[in-house]
Amino acid sequence: MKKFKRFTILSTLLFLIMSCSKDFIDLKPKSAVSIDVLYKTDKDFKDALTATYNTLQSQYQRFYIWGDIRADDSWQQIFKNNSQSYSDAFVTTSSDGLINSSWLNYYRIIFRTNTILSRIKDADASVVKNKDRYIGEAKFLRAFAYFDLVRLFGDVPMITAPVSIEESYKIGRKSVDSIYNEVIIPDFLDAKNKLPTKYTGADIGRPTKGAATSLLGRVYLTQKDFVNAESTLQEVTQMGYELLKNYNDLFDYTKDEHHSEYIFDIEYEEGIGEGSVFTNAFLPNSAPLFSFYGIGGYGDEQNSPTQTLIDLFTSNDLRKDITIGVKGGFYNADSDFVKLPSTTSQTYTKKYIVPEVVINDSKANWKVIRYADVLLMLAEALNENNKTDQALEYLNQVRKRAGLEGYTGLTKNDAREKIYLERRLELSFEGVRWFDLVRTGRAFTTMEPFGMQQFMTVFPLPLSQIQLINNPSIFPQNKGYE
Amino acid sequence: MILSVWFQNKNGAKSLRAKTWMIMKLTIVLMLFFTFQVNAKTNAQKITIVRNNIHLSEVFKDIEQQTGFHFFYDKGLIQNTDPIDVKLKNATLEHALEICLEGQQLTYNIVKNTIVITPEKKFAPEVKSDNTIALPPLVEIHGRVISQKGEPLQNVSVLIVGTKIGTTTNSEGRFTLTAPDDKNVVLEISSVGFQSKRVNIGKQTDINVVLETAITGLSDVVVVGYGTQKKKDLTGAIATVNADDIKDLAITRTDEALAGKVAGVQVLATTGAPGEGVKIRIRGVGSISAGSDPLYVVDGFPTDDIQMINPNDIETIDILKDASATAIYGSRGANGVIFITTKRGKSGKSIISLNAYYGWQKVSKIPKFLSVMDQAKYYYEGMKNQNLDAGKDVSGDPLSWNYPVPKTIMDVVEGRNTTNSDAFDAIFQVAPQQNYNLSTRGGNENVKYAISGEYLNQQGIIISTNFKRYSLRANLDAQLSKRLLVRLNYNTSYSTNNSQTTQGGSGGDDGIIGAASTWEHWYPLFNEDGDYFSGFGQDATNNVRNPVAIAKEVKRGENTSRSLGNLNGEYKISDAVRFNLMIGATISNSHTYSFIPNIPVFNTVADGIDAREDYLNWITESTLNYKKNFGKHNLTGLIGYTTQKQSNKGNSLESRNFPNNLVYTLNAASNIIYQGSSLESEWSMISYLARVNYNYNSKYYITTSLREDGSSRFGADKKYGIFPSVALAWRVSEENFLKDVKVINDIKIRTSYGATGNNNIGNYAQYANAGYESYTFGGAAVGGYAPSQFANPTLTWEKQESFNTGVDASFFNNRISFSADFFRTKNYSLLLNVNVPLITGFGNALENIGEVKNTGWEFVLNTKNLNGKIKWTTNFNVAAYHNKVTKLGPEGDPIINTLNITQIGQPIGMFYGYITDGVFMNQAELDAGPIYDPGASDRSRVGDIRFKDVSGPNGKPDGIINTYDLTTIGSPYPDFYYGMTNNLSYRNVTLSFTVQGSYGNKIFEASDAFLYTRARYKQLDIVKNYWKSEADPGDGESPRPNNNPTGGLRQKSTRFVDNGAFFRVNNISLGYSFNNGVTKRLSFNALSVYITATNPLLITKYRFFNPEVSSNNDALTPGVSNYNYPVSKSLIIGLNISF
Repeated sequence: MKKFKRFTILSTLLFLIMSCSKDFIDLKPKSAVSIDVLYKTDKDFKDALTATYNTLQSQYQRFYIWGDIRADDSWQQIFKNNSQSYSDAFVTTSSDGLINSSWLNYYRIIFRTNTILSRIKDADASVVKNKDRYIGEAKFLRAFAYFDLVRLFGDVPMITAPVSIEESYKIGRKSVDSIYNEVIIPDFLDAKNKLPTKYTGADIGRPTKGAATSLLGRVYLTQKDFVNAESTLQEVTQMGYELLKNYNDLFDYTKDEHHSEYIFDIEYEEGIGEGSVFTNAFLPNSAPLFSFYGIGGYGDEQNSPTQTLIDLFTSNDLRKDITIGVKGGFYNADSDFVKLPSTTSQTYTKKYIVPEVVINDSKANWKVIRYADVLLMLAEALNENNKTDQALEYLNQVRKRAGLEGYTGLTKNDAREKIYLERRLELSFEGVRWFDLVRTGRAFTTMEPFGMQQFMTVFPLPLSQIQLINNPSIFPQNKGYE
Repeated sequence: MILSVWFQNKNGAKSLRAKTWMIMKLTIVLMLFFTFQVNAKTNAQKITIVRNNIHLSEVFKDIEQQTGFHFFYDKGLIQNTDPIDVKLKNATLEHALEICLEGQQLTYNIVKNTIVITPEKKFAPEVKSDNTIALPPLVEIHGRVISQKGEPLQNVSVLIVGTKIGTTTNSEGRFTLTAPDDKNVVLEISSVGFQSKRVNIGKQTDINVVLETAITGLSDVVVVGYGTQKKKDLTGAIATVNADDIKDLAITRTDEALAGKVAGVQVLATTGAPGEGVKIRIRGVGSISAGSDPLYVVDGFPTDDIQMINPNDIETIDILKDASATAIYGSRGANGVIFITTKRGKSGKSIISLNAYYGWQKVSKIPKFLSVMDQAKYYYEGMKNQNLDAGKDVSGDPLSWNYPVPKTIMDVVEGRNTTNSDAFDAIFQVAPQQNYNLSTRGGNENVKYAISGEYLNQQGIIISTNFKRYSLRANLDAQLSKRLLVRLNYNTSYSTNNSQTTQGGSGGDDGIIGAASTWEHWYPLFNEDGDYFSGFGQDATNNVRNPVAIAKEVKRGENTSRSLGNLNGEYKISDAVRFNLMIGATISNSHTYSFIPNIPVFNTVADGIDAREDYLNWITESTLNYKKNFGKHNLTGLIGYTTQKQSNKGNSLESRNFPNNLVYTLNAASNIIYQGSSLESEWSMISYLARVNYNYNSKYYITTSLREDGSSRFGADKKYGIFPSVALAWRVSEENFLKDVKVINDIKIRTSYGATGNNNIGNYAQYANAGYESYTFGGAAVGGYAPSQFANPTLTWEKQESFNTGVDASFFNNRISFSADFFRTKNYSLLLNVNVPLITGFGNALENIGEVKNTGWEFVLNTKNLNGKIKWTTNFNVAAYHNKVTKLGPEGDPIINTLNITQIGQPIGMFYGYITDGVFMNQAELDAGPIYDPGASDRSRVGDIRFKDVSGPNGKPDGIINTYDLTTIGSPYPDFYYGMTNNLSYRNVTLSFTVQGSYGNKIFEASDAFLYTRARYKQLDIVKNYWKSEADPGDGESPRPNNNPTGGLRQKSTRFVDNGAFFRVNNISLGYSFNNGVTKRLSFNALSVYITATNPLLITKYRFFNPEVSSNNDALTPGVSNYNYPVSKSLIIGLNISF
């Protein structure tokens, strides 16, 4: 009967078709690609770098917790029991989630840059046309990550090539000095040589020669190497940067954030999934305030000016209005004073206010370093190198822009104090105060009333890592946090 | 040519596997060649038998073999016939039969391919010309046999008791019999799968008989993987639920049918959202991260989604529990296998049935909150305590305290605000539910069909939620020839689901239960002008979206269309050997969308999401079945080969740029897309399987099976895995020493061991892929990539080894039967995201490393309590299991997921937190400690909660409450769980009810963790008797209210762990079938009506909505309640008509 034959033939055919495809179960991802086929072209390396910047973007969303909240000019008034309040009150423990995520973020940057550097080494410069620049960017990012790591944690593992899981259990902590000398300084120096002075169009936002030089200056200053700091920062003054005329314009995000004073920012942009949290994170939770400024969502009131900071400003300081909002309320369009709800934070900074459509989708960048900072650092280095008069010139550039009288005829010690003070007035809520306190050795004396103990100039290492590696001779906890 | 192809394939493959390959392929192909041979023979249909001194039964067998026709006869008819000599060459069937039956006083009848042997009509009146023979007068009796459902039953044996006179029914269920005209004549009517019945015909000549389905017939057939088995021959732990068990239950999903019915199968109604599934756990939880859902096999098609199956179409559900049963499903069998078999056509006149029901659902249980006045006072006290804690004065006007009491609260307390809104009342509704199912079944011997169409409309108990399903099924069986049977199953459906976000949410998002739970009584839901009242920026509430606005203004839904079809050709190569080829496919398209409009009370921009996903899953399956009896040796065997592949494609777009709220589709967003993505993925597997069942005299059984799976999900070094099993059974009751014991009907002891796997480890998890991440340069987003995980070429399925032993027994004419099972399983190589040092750049890596053990027992008791006019049967089942983690990551570190902890030595996902120990009633108690956060501003104070000091830095209690005191604070698993079904019938009335319960499990109320802390939050009424002062310390459990809680009040603790034990009546169903007379007058075959109450009674101490709640399917976080969709109770009125 025909039917059977057909059925049988069909079955046989089907069976053979099915079994003939040897790689039937050898399926490769369709919406992802193995990294083995990447790291080949110019574009590949550019893209690999882009993803590395992404980690920086995540990490810097919460950088204020260290740079600002931990110090004396800012605090967290309302919420308790979060990383912010712990940092504020010097009770951060090794199990703090922020400690863990930061450790991962920085080492993720290091892993990614190490991967790029190890793969670009043998790349043909005729294929990877921007090879030098990419090496410069990668080294900039690596040095950047290590600089934060040593400032936050002290001695940390130094890794300059990708490592396997097995190896990672055996890599111990290395001294801060070695890391400065073996990675951070050489990397920034190399980056300084390889990076262009300026980017245009779709590359704006990448680190420039000026960024590498400025950060290198900050490194030397942190190391108290005032000689190198001075010469390095002097270079920056020759690179064409200048202060904006109007201080408030620095925080007017409707204008281009890459102005003459900009050196290096962590870039954020609204409406394209690249927004920052700063607008929401720092404001009191008041619907009228939000609707007045055209901001979506609600306020997290996590980074509020302290009375100490408020009192530092003289009434004629042009920076005061944008740095610190009116206590307890705001003036609406009709110039009526609107009170903030009593349960919310009563002080706030206006430095990150920008209209935004969606909560935590602000276009406000995080300013890593800007020209005013360079000028103040240069002033500090000069002063330490006993060039006080020269120092005051740079200091006064900054004061003048703020509408204040310049200083003249100060002693070295007085000048130092004035420079320190100026940094607070100029750079508050920009993540530098805590690190200034630590590097100048004033952290403990300043912060003791707030609960700081002497060992707290660094943070604890993540408990998860202490437990995972579980070998105090390789990976001990920072003193005081055991 | 063919062979050369194979050898090419062999190259590079491992030798053992290649060998298996070869053997299997050769066997199957040889069988196919053999098929041609047999075909040729059959075509001729000529019979050749040359044998001497042979018994008739042997002749019949020969004829059966040569023709494919079947004989049907009463053995008694021929057992005393004399042996005959047969000499036939190429004879026709008719000729052969005439030769063989000559002189045997037998005659034959050919009905299609069945040869019915009956006695020659001795009583035929024309036998003798003179009428003097002293025989009783004869009458012709006509009759019809139908099932309980009114369907005609074919091939039913009708026999006059005490004689050999009998016949069988035709396709319309009718029979005609000539019998002595004697009022004492009794007919015995019997058929496989039905209870035999004796009918005294008396003076009737036209009788109608209704046969009832056999309840615990050992002859019942049970679906096992790639075949069926008689229940009495089972060696594994398999349970069955029949259509009759679930009819009249008005369930909307097939999996709901199992609730309370099967021992060892937990059916958790974790959500009440229309169309949403239940969570099924067979014998506990064996996987930590690869999922614990069972594999579903619908009419032979393995799938993981059964939302679209119409419960009215179900014939049986068989649940494979132990590894001897599931090992044939290899790397997918570890969580148990649920077979769903749909109704098929039966030969006979077509029957059209209509099942319709309509009902009303209502929320089953609502948590109780403080009254508006109590809540306002609580708030007031909380503000007062916040001031006192901060050392502030509270003597003046509360409105001007340092932390002022909101004006709204003072208005309530002092009687100026009498608003008392009830947000639950506003979002819950009495929701109608309706279902119409029209089906027809029928056919002849060659073609049988079952076709059904369904419309289901279930409104949700939350306004604006509903589920609708339209489905169509056609099952077709065609006997194309004596040897070739083709079966087609086709199911297509379309469903729409309007939903709301329920889980989670308690603040400014659109979790509707969260919003309703936190909506303060003193704020109305609507302004006087009818607009929604805004929950944002008010003085006495946290920002919250108006729940009614959420329900009415937020659009959320999913439309799914799905078709599942499979075609099965069964070719009977010989009586002993059958070849099956199955090909099938599922195609699914789903569309998910949501739109949150930009309205003031939402305090957000408009947001629209549109996502689509489709997949194609196809399968081919070739099996060769062998079945032969050698005297008392009974042997069946199976080998097979199957491939399956699924390809998924999906995309999602989101926009936030809607100029207005008039259009919710994304075209209204002017092409400005906020986020978009599309994804494709695939998996495939290839499997070889074999099974041998042997039994000696239905007394000693051995079953052994083997499967080899290759899967695209496994790492390059672990592509293939082998899954063996063996089972033994001994029917003790067949032994001589028990055979004659009347009270014992059956006793069987069985034991099994097997290996299975869990391949739900994700697609492509073995590769080091690039992940995509972006940054912004020049004001635009720029994409980039980075390695997203470590490569793991050794990644493989999770393995399970399982041991089961059990006994099945029935006594007293099957009036009492029970089954008991004990099992022990070890799941190992469990996939874990193991922490690795972060300096690698990764937080974790996937490894097969964990191990979990489960031990447990199950007990089932079936009794027929009454068997007279009133029939009453009871099925009771109870089960328990204990789950223990025995291995975790390399360091054995516990996995802590906020509220749950998974650690070695304990079950997966135990609750984790502080243990509360009452309240510090007075200063002396506070001084005695232990103090939470001593010295800090949030330290414990009098009236605060006291925690148990469990441990400290040195492993000993240190008088301080800190993270060292976090410990296990409850189990989400029951000590045991049980179910009981009772069926009663009296004349035309049937009554059935099922109860279900669990004991010993706890629930972590994450909803409470929000509500139950700050004084400004809405409180459950259990805090009513709170600590007020040392003189009035309240119930000793409830601390003082505080708006800025101290003493660790907000820490996770036993305060939020609630008792999850419950007892519930799942359903009570009362049915009435109208008499023949009534139905005939209405020209129906059958008519019945029923009324069913679902979840009419729930007894539990649980505070929130649903004691079976579990917020997600993650094994690590079971038993967490977080504002989930409440379950309903309902009342349904239904009607079944067939005509």
